[in-house]
Amino acid sequence: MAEIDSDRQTFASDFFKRDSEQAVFTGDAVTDKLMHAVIALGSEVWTLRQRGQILESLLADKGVSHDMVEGYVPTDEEASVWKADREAYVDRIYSVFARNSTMGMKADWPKADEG
Amino acid sequence: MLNRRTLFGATAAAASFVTAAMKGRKANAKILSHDFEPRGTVGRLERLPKLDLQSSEDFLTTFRVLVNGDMTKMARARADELIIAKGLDPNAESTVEEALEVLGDDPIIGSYFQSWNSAQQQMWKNIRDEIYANADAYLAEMEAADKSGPGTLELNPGIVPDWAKYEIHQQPGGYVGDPFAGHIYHYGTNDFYMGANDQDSIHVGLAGLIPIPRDKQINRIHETGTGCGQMAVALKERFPDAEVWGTDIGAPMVRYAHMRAVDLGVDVNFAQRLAEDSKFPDNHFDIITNYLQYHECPAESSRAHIREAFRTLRPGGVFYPIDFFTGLLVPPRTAFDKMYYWWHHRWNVEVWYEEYASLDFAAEMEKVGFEVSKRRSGPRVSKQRADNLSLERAPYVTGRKPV
Repeated sequence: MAEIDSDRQTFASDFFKRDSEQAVFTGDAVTDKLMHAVIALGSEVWTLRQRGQILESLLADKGVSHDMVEGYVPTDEEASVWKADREAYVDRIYSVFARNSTMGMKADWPKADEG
Repeated sequence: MLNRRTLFGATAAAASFVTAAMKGRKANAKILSHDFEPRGTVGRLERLPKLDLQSSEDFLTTFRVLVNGDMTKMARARADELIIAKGLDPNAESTVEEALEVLGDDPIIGSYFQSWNSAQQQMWKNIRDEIYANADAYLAEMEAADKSGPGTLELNPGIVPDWAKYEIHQQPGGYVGDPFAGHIYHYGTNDFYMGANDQDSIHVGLAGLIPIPRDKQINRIHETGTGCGQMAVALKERFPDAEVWGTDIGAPMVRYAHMRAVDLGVDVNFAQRLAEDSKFPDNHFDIITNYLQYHECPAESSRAHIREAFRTLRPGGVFYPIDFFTGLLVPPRTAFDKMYYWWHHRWNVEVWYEEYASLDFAAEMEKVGFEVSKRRSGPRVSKQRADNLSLERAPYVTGRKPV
């Protein structure tokens, strides 16, 4: 973030800093943080969708129509690459749901014979 | 931030008659020497400087519609369940303490407030980060406008009282502590209005509702707590022959207000002054108004301003304060509403809301000598309900200084 030259008068005064960012409303700080991140991700995804829509509109002006994008048929090679890419994408984001995570923070180390 | 769109839904029809006139405003305005608007303008609104920022703000605005609408209904229904489960009546009068006792630890209601809170914080951060990424250009633009007209700018550093130094609505730096408070406030409040005020339609509509003196003489108008000057500009447009002043305690706010008015080519004078110590002479103004000022001020400040308005209005002049409870809306009384307002007071930094809600505005105005009327002074339009508050009921209390 850019700083403002100290020799430029800004006419800003001192102020009292809020404490709202330290608040927890659901009773669980992790849940609050996850909600914050999910809303932020929603914003990021929408931003990408908007840019994609604009690009499609501009491409249409150049002869690449929306129908051409919708109806695009990948080659076998493209389909294979995309499938692998999609599987990796799902793994990165959702494989955590497949974990059986039950140990608490204070759980002991596993015994040697339990591997 | 208490919901604004419903408060001013009533003004939409009143605004429509001027919307067409506003559309071409920017095109007619002069180009400032340091004008910084990388993505141009739509009507009178300078577009946000980056497409990605615009898209994220569009998202957060749409998300706010969900939060203020269906999520509020969900939270209210959940609150009713909890209250009934305790053997209580959800429509009965409640104190904040009683409401928090029953509702304050519920994670579902908590998730509602967290949704609101996160969206609010992200909205401010996104805008502020982008402004600061081009801080030099934005500051240069204001510096150039400081010395330009039409209209004048007066800054009085050092007069900011402690009560005005809070980060109202969680806006970083509040109205006084960030050099770009006006920029941040303007685009942030566009989000508050959920798209309904991008062309100042609500301010224009409210300006259209303000009653005039019975002798129809309107030479000078004062808007206190002018913020980024949207109402003051709208007043000048309604009364083009009048001298219009917009004052605010926030220097960055009036700097931005002046810059924007210059950019729009509208002749308004802006000054950093306290509403309750306006420095204007006795019997000076024909109309004094303000818009959402008092719920951000201590009660004693509001009382002092009512006295100052009486002093600076000429006999026959009109005082028209527009705020949440200066119209037909009454302060909340049931448990969910009490908690809702308390939450905004505590966590959305509406520091003075509870003091404000304790004021009987009409009675305070009568005390200093105003003749007070609540007679409807503008058109009533169809209900535009966006959330849980029914705030669309103008008129607002009107004070006339006796002749």
